[in-house]
Amino acid sequence: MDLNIGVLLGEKSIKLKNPLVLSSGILDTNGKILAKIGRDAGAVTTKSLGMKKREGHKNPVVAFYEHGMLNSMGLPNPGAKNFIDEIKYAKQHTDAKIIASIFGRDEEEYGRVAEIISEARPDIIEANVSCPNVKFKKMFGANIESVKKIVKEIKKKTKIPLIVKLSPNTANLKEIAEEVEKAGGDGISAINTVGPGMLINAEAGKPVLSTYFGGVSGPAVKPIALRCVYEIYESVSIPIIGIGGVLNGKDAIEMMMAGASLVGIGSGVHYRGENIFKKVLNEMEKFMKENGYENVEEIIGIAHKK
Amino acid sequence: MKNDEIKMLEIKEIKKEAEGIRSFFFSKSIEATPGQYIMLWVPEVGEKPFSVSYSNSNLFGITVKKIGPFTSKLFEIKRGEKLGVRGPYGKGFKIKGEKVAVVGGGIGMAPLGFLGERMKNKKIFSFIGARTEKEMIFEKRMKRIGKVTIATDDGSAGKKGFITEELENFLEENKIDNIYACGPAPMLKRIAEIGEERAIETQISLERKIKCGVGICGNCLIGDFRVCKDGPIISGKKALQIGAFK
Repeated sequence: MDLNIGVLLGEKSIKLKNPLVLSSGILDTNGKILAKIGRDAGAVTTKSLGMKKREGHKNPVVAFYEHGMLNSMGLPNPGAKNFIDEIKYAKQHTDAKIIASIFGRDEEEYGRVAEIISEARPDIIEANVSCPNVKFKKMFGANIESVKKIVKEIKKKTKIPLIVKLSPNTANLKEIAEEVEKAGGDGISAINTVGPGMLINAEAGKPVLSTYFGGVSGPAVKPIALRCVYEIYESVSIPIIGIGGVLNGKDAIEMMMAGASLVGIGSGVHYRGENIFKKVLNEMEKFMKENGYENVEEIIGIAHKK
Repeated sequence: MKNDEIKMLEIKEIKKEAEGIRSFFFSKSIEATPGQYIMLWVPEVGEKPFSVSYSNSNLFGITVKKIGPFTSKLFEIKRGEKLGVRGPYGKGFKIKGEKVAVVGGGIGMAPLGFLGERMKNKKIFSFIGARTEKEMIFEKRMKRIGKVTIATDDGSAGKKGFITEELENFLEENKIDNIYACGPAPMLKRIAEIGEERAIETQISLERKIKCGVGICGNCLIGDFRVCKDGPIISGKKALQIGAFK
C-alpha cells in the first residue's frame, strides 16, 4: 500500500510521506508541537501569522453542539517575525512538510508577511484569505479582485509555492478559484470554517461565544467541504488541499475522490485525539486494501465524470 | 461530545471559605477526578477554568478567589441562579503511595481537599501555605483526614515562612512515598526540585491561560505539552524537563 504522494506546486514537485495535513488553527502555535504532529502527518500548517502580535478574542472562543463546533479565536499569533525560529525548529525535527499560514490586514500586507516568513524557508505558504472571525476592511476571500491582488503581492515577494485558503462562504467559489490559478497561485486549500454561525444557550438566553458569531467546523461541514472541493476541481488544474469535517479514513478518501490531492484535518483532533493522523492513515490503508487501490494517488478525483 | 456542550447548573449553595474565597456548589452532574477542572461560563462575562474542589454523592463544587473582573462578577451571583459548566477536563492526580504529603499554597488548596478525601487508607500529611491566616482554606477539612502543618507569609498562623520549608523539615525526619501539590509557580518549582533531590515522586498542578479546554487551540502549550488536556496534573520531573517554570 503506497500512501506517498507528490504534488506539483508551480515548478516545484513536493513529495509527502502521506496526504494528511494538519490544518491551520489547531495545535500549531510552536515548533515543538508542529514537529510532534509531523511524526504522523504528511504536512503541518502553522497558526495564521500576521505582521504584528495579536492576542485574539476573549473566552468563550469555542462552543460545541451535537454536530460540530464553532470557534472565534480571532487570529491570535506572535507575529510572523517571532515565529521564524519555530518554523526552523519544526523543519529540523520532522520529515513532514511545513506550511506557513499567513494573513494581512490589507492586500499589500500579505506580501510583506510572506517576505518575512520566507526567511524560515517553509515548504509552502498558505494565504488565509478567509478567516470569518476578524473584520478587516473587507472579507478578502469573497472578493475576486482582492484575492487576485493578494496572490500577486505574495508572488512578487517570494518564490516559495503559494496555496490560497478559500472560504465556502461565497457564491463565487469557482470564479475565485479560477482567478487564484490565473494570478499564479500554485494550489488551493478549501474550506475554511463555514458561516459564521451562532450558538445560543437556551437556558441562559444568551449567545455562547464572546464574539457571538464563529466559524463552524467538525462533522457538520463535511458535505459542504466535499461540494466545494468538487467544484474547485472542476474549475482549476492546480492541486487542492481538501479540508472540512474529516474525522476518519473514509472521510479522507471521499475528500480525495472529490478532487483533493491532500487532506486537511483540524477539528478532528478534538474528536479523535492528537493521534488522529495515525488512526486515519490506518483506516485509509484498510479501505484501500479492501477496495483494490494500490496507490493513494489513484483515488484523486474519481468521483468526477470522465 | 456530550461534556463539551455547556450545561446551565443552578447554584445550590455558596460557602465563604476565607477572606475573598468562596465555594460554589452545584447538583452533581459531572464525574470528576481530583485535579480535573471545569470551564465555568458566566453569560456575557466570560469563561474560565476552575479545579473541582468538592465532589460527593449529590453535589460538586469549585472554590474561587476573587482576583479580577470575572471573579468579581461571579461573587455577585446568588444562590438559585445558574452558571454554565462544561467538562470535566484534563488529567487528574494519580493516587498512589501509602504515606503521602499534600502541599497547597493559597487558593492552590482548591483541588487538594477533594484529593485528600478520595485517598483511602493512606497516611496523609497536609501542608497549607497562605499569605495570612485570613486567606487560608481547608484547615479543618485536611485535619479530618490527617496531620496538618501550616505556614503563612506574615506568621499570623503556623510558622512564618514558606510552606516548602516546613515540608523539607518534615522530610528530614520522615519518609514519604508521594507528594501532591498545587499553588503558585515558585512553590511548585521548589516541590519538583525537592522531589528530584530526595527521589520522591511528585505530582503538581500547572496553571496556564486556558482557552479551548479540549487540547486543540494551542494557547496553553508548554513545548508540545497541552496543559489543558495532557495536564493540568504533571509529574514534577516532567514539569522541570519541559521547562514549565521558565
